[in-house]
Amino acid sequence: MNDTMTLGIRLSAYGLAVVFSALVAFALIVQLLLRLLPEGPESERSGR
Amino acid sequence: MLEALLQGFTDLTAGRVAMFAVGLVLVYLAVKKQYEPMILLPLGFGTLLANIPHSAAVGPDGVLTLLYRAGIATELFPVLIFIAIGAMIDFTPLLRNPAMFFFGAAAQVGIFATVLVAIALGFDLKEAASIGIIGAADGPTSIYVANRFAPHLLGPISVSAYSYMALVPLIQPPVIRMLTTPAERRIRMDYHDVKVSRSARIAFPIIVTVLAGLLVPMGVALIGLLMFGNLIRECGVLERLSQSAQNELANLVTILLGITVGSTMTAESFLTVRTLAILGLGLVAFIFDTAGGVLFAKGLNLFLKRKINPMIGAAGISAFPMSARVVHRMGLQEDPTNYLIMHSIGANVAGQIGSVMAGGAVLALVPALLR
Repeated sequence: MNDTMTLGIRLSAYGLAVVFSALVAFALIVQLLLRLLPEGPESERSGR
Repeated sequence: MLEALLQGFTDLTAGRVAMFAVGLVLVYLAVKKQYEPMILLPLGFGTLLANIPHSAAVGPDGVLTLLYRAGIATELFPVLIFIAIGAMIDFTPLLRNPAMFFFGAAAQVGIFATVLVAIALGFDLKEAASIGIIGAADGPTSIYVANRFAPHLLGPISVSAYSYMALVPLIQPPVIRMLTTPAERRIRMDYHDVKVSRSARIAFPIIVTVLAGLLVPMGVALIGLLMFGNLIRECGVLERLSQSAQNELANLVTILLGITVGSTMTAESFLTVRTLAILGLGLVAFIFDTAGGVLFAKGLNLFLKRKINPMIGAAGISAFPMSARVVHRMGLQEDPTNYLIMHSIGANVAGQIGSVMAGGAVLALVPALLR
């Protein structure tokens, strides 16, 4: 296996790890947001 | 005198004529087939302008060269497009069902699988990374990364990215059918109409920007401006700016982006075996994306009590809303009462975040690996 392919494999492994960890973190944050900031009464529903 | 007037004709080479044909095909696809017309038409016309011998539109003082220097070399145009896209995206279906984030990540597999195939075909790491990003199914991210790592491949990468995005309704169904059984395609998924507060919708783009920025600072221009556009939309007090971002900004920058990228597609740079390879690899990237998402969903189903319809995984690419519609339509074909649209839209907008994160990761990792 040449050097470029080794770098490509490392790029793929690290890249996927970054994407997955970020999106899993976002999913957890959204869960947290939904709990911490539930839909309020009129002020929320009216929009502004 | 006459020689000077006829110079355009006498210097017309076979390569330039072939590029006229490429430009006209792009215009045809835009007008007749309505394949991404907003980008393919300016791209095709820019190709014509760039290949007219002694064209004053290109060259050191040409208007398109000036636009290239001002908007592409500086990365300004793709980044401005992100503000517009952010203002257009409604993340609510994703916020209602955060599990869809997983599919936005899984469908990025195509990017990295394509990087390896590109390296195997002889491209260097920077070129392969730029080609792989076609799999993000996200035109501005492809242009941004290609401009940074392989500006000489900008034309074919842009054509490939936008063409295959338009062809999603043709590319995805056979791949999905090959990897799923009719019974799997009929799986129903419960939909809970979770209320998402305005505060949560405002907090989301801010938190994502800070977290993503800390994780991959190289991607801040992409994710940050995408989320800025979304904040303008969701804050509820900037309706005029939101409308301007979604309409005037998007339209103006799209015109300039398309025609400027088209102007880079000269015969010398485009008519090469590598261009054919890039067009082929773009297709490979979209197939891998789709397969990655579907197989990931099938893998999850091994552990889940309530099964996920694996087609939802295919909607985790950034091509919005084509991919979500494809999945929804295929679900209806198997069972006319099975509505998957809210789930597939959720996965699709997760794919938009996933593709930008993947772009940021590649921007950060490639220089670090080559150091």
